[in-house]
Amino acid sequence: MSRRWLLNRLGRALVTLWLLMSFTFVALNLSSEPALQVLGPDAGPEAVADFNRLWGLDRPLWEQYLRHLGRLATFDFGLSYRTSDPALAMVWERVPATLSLMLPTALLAVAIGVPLGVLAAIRKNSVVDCAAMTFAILGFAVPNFLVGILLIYLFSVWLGWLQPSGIVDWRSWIMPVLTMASAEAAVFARFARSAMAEVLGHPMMRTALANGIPWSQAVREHALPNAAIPLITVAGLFFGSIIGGGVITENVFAWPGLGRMLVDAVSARDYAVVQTIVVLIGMTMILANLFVDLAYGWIDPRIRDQRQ
Amino acid sequence: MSLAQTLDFRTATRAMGRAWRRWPPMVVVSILVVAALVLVALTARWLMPYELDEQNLLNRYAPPVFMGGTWEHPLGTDSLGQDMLTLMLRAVQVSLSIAFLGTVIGAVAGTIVGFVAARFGGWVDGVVGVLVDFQAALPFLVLALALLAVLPDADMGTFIVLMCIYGWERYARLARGLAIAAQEQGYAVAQRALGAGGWRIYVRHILPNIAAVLVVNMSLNFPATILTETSLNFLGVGIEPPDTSLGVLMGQGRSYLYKAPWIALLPGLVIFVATFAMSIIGDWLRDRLDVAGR
Amino acid sequence: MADPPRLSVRDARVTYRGRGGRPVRALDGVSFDVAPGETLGIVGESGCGKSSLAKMMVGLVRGGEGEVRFDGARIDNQDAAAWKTLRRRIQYVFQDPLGALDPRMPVLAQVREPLDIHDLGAARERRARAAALLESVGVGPHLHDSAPVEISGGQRQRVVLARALVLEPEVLLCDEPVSALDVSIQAQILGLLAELRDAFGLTMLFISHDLAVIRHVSHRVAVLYLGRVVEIGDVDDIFARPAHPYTRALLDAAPRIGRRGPRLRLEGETPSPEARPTGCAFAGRCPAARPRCVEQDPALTARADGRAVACYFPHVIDEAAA
Repeated sequence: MSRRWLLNRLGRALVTLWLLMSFTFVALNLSSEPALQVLGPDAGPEAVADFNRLWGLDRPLWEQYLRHLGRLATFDFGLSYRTSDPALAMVWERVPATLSLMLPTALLAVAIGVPLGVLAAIRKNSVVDCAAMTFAILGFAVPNFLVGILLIYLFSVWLGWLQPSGIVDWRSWIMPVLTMASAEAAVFARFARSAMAEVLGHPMMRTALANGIPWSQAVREHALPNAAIPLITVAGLFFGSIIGGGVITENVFAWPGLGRMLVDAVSARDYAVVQTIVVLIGMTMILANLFVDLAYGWIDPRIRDQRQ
Repeated sequence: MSLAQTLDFRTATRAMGRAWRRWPPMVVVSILVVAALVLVALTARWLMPYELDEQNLLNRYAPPVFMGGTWEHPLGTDSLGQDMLTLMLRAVQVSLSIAFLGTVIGAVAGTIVGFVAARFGGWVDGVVGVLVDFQAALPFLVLALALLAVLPDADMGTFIVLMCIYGWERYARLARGLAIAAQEQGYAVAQRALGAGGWRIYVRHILPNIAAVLVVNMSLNFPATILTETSLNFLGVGIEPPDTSLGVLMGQGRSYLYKAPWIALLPGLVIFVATFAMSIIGDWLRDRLDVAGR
Repeated sequence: MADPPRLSVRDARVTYRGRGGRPVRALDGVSFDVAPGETLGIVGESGCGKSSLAKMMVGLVRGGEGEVRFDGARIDNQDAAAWKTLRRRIQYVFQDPLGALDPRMPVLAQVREPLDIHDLGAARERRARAAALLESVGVGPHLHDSAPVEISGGQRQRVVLARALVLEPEVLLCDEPVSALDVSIQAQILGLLAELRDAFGLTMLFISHDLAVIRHVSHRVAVLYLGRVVEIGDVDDIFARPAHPYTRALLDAAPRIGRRGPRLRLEGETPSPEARPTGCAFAGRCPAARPRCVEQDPALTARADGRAVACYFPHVIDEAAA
């Protein structure tokens, strides 16, 4: 991998990070008079002035901007408008609950989606293929919250087997993970199928078969590794969609994670907390995209040559 | 049967087979479903049996007819005794308008931005690239929540703008890539040799040649747009009552799953049917016009 | 003083950005004149800079330098508005007719389009004019609404020709106009080109790698090697008695009846323009190269017979054979 490409990619990641921080600043300034929103419309002018001084809102805009960047760069996210607790600590507390949903979801989605897609590609136009693709379209067309609500309706309202909300015991994970995994598995199945189908149609496969290599070996040694390359792209997309899906799922099941905290903070217009979560998610995504690109360049020489 | 008749019969069946392949039944049904929804959205105002904010606290949680209710409220009532049919009609109208206008405006804006990036290159291209990168760095739902946290009183217009922000990047990337590829093609160079200016080449030659890809992407992206809008409104941070959308209705209804499941399930069903039908149409268009999805 | 040449090119250079941003000189100081009504053939192997030359003359490449004059007036430094008028007078015919046509537009509309671009004539006249030109290149009305993919390769090149001529240009730059066509069609298109040239009084630059084609349509010919002219002169003259060993090798590579003398075959490959050798660029492949050829670069020198040759030892192959 050339150093030039690497530096270029790193530079782009940094610019994106800067844009992310600037975005939170612009968004903050879009809000009309945060003091009134936090203190309520009846707040006196003195209280408003105090609030503005406390948050540095009485300084010139450029100074506010530089302070803003400086604070974010040093991980100083300020205090929650609502509870006056440090925002970062509040948010950090919620991370484990969210991760505990995401990891099983990721494993389940890959474990279901990839084999399904590969199988569908190998047995193209068969019953398996048809079923897999119907599942893929369903997973795409049915919103997360609808799946969640149907599950609650089925398991909690109708059968009364599972608790519909919060963390009670290990069974609390069943419905949220199923909800999120069904959508993600559908995406994986779709991508795995098209990637695999493309590789299977490649002349390389014909050549391998013409050379007398058994079909199963050709699939194992030539088709699967090549089909894996586009799947890395999906891994990058997956990260974003699992976060988005997590926000909804957590709210459906009253899960004490980041997503629920984000929506609560948005409702309460607690911008310090919103900003903390947005920046943290953005930073994670930028890192993830960077790794995906690096992995890509490392695995597929065609990409890195093209991008130079 | 005479030979002529046999031949005639054969051509007829072959023609039918062709029509069958060209118009698979699933696709026909999907098109009809979408057409019906569009018709409902357009005429909703005249179909509503009640006023949008008409409440009847004495008749709350009335079940729909198919669950033992009366024809007074064919789809039942909600927790405030509002007529579900009226709410659903308005919700379909709002959700479809947001998805449709958001998709179209976003696609137009994105295509223009992509063309500008392709035409001018250099730093203009760089700025567009950075913006695209930025949007890839934040799940759209999170970006939209951040904006909703600061925008006062979200309504249908807010959501149309949000859906433009959601979609533009996809079309900008597509249009830019396609335009750069088309610029290298002989016909664009040939047009320059004829004396055509840059924009003429884009509008008269490149755009018609890539329109199919853009339209297919719009139809493929349409379900995702509906899902994004309904998700945000489901979370209860979007459109405020008395106005409503499919997502708002579901979000309100989920609290009454035990008592009145239809409040959440009816809009859910409509969302599902709409996105499913649009997905089928999108896939079919893509295969039919033979363009790659991304 | 005599009239200026219709086209005049001085010290034309085209520099591309190669791998790693290093400049690559595709065209390296080419000069020539073309008189009104004359056809100059440009011949050379692929990669010698022929296409870059033609594209540079009409400003279709980045990195072009040098002076281009049209009827004595410089055109290489003109702004976009001036170029637009100029493009009416200088037209370009591309190698790949399918690529040069918009795949979605009916052919009549494509021939009419230059008139729209330059806003010439009323709407109805434009249509009639386009139809008349299609007729004159042998494309009948039944094909007017066809898409480019629906007609044959020869017909497509006829459409491209009609589109170029609908503006009634004075100069036509033909970049390998027949190399994408079947041989039997080539002859038809070449015949048509010669006819149109006489009918429209065109001055032409005709680029090809095929000597037989060049000979068919050109009055004079310039031989390009690695971005430079190595020999230029009257076509019959050069075909009868090539002076540069490279010209000789090109002629020998083509099948010919009644060949006299030994046949010169080229060994090795054309050096890359990224690493141009010192001295004569052809020296490495020239069977008659001497020490001087490697040390010094021979300049293109005009001779008494109206030819110009860039070789220290012209006709050396013939002499060796004699």
